[in-house]
Amino acid sequence: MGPERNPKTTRLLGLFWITRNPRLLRAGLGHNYAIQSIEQRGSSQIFNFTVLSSRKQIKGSMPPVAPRSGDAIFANVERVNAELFTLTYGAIVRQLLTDLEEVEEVNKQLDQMGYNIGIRLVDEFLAKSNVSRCVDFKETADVIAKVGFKMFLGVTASVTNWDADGTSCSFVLEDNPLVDFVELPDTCQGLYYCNILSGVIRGALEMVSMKTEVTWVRDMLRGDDAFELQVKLLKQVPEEYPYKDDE
Amino acid sequence: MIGVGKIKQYSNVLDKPLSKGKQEVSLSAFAFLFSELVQYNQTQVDNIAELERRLEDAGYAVGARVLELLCHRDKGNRRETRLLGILSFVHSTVWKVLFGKVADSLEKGTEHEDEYMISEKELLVNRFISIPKDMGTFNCGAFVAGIVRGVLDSAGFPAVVTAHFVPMEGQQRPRTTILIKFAEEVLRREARLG
Repeated sequence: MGPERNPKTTRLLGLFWITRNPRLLRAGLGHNYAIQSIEQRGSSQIFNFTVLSSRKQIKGSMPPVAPRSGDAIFANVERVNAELFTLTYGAIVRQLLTDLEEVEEVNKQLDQMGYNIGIRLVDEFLAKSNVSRCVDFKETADVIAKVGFKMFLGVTASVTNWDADGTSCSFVLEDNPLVDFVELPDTCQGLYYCNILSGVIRGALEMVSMKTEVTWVRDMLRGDDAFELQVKLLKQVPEEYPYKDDE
Repeated sequence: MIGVGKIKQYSNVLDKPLSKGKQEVSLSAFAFLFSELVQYNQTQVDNIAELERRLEDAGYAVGARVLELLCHRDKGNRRETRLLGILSFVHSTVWKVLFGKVADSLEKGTEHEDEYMISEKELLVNRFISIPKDMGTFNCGAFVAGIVRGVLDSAGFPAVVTAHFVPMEGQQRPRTTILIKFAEEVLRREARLG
């Protein structure tokens, strides 16, 4: 079988992404692989790898690593002044408004940017937080609110407004570093200024097999008393081992 | 029960007390955001010069606001009016607030009277960026150059500001030099002031 048609490699590209350490791949499912070599075949790269550890093995043979609290992680990561972050985000939104003109388009683009961030950010989140697999969507939401928001933005969110079947809830943010110094002019009333956040959550959850829909319920820039993001679980994609050995 | 468990609402952003600027976010959060800024702008241009110009524009918007913010908060609504004063304000105060440290060096150009350079061994925005070979001399420091131009211009010191990689002996990565070339009027005014 030619390497191009090798299901291991073709599936690999869809399911894995490369961490900052380019020789180490990590799957959303928690398996670690070391790349032995990379071959260039035409336009595609073929990764040859060995499995270093999978979640199953970790559970069986090693004591689990304790999950870290959001505060502990935030205290240990490198940080930058929030004002640089705030003003840079403001510059992005302003550029988008100038380029795209339509507020709706800006909302879309911000969401897309957030999504791009989310699918990469989840990798760092898993690597630093040591959280084990969440048993249900409730736990997932809790972890995002207490650990996720804290470790990246330095603020915590609270989780409320659960629906009866536990598939939809709200993150409430009272402190939001994106909006310091911001006031929406009359011409931008339809703008979801923080729409990047909804994209981040959607992207990150998609990488751990949860399809979600994220919408703004309350927005302080529109006169509400807090920021409230509603996250609705649409579908949980069942996990499957990346490939079958006999293929 | 007035005000219990409620955050105070401000109808106007100017009524809100100015924060002390001690809040932080993780470096990764900023790096992710910055990377999106660069990637988005890449889709809007067809050459490197244009891309640098757009990043510079984004930085300019930041710089103009940083000047206003710092003058108000740290300097009692006063700003520097002399050339060396404003340069050291950029090199120390602005750098410290934005990047958590004073810039590595501030030098005067040896060939031209109107040129100054601020150099940084590892510019914050370039930390996680490697430039593909086909993008030549492109430097994401253009964003920081824009910030510097924004501060200088808004303070009444119009200048052309550019970012360049400068290879260093024995260092794997080049340092970034922000080159500031002041407008003629600035130097004339400076000369008059003596």
